[in-house]
Amino acid sequence: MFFGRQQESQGATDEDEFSAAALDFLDALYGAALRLTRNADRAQDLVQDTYLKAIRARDRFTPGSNLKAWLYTILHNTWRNRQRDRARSRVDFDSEAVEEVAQGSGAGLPALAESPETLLLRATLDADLQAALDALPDVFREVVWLRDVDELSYQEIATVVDAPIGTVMSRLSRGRKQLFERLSMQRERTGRV
Amino acid sequence: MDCRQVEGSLAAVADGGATPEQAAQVARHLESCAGCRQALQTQATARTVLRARATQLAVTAPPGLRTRLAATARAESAQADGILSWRGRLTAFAAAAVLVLTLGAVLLPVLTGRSTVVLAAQMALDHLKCFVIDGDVRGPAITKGEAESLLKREYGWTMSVPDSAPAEGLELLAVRHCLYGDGLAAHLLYRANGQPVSLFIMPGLTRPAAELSVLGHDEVVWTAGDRTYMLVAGKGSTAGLARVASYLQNEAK
Repeated sequence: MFFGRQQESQGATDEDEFSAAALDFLDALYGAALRLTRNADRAQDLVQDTYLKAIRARDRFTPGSNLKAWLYTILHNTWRNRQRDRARSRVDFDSEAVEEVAQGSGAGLPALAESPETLLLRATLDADLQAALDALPDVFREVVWLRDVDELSYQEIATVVDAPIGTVMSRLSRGRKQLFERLSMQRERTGRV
Repeated sequence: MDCRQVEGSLAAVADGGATPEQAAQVARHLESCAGCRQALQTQATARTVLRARATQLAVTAPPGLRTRLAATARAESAQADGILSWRGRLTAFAAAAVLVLTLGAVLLPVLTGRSTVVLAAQMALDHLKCFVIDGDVRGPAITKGEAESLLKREYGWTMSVPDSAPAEGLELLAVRHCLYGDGLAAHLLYRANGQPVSLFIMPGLTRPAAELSVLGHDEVVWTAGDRTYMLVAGKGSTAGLARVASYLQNEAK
């Protein structure tokens, strides 16, 4: 005897709803994992691990709060733990010294005249923007992305990246500045206006 | 407020995340400081560019990943529910099925201790669970490569997964964790001539080759290497089951 394979299971539970809601953020999670791992296989692996942990810890999620930010936090924690497991230094993530070095990498750029954002916007191709983002130091790129693309609150970002709000603002400020400078340089170099 | 103090608030002022007090203080400073005005402009411009391109910057996860996560959620949910709620969901099936299921729960930790018949009964139920109760063989079919990398990642197995074979009327659909092997068995889901067929793979287990009829299902058992394979299909649903088994025996390595 064969039963139709499309037959639905009876009655969706809260668990099913949670799992489905979390799955709504799959693309965002995968994007975050790609930014962290810079490798498609490792990104998938990280997302899968994150998702499993989220489902198992779903009781700890506060209904009504930002599920996306909560999932991001698990993803970043998982990534940090993996990095630690691989005996890489955590310095990458929270040392002020590294940020100073990162800051320095943009310091040699020429000073720019004030540039109307409409000009820059029109002149910036998606590929240029992606390249400029990719060129940012990891710690800067992540907060820039979380704030300006994902629109998380400062508190949420602080939780996700496990850093004080002041540090988040500082990284964001430097990240945007470097991004702006790279885009402006590209514009001048290619002559697109 | 000097430039250094203002700098710390500029990012938030530029994106509306600053408190009214912060914003007011920064505004007062900006009246008399061209440098910080430009710094604010830089912050706002970078944000505007990113906001305008947010959609184009977003990536799409591979379809196989979505399928796999959905399966992960179901497996978790089923484990959390435990065996008891299974009995409720199985009322449509024969009492014998529930009996074997309960028996299975008692014996669960000792996969190798179970007789081939009990094992076959459990696999028949898992076959039903995946194909019928959960109805979860939806979405895009997995490819041979995806199935193999999944088995590699989830189980650490390097094996050749039998691919879809149009000549055999066989279509590879999905890979699942098998609940009854404590997750130690893998479950490959196929469709053969339009009918659901399951191939269970159990490592570290040696069983004599056999053909069984258990709980309304036809099953073919064989061992290759250090793995035992169980092929499960509804009784009489797949006329060419022996042929399918032969193909799978050749291809699964």
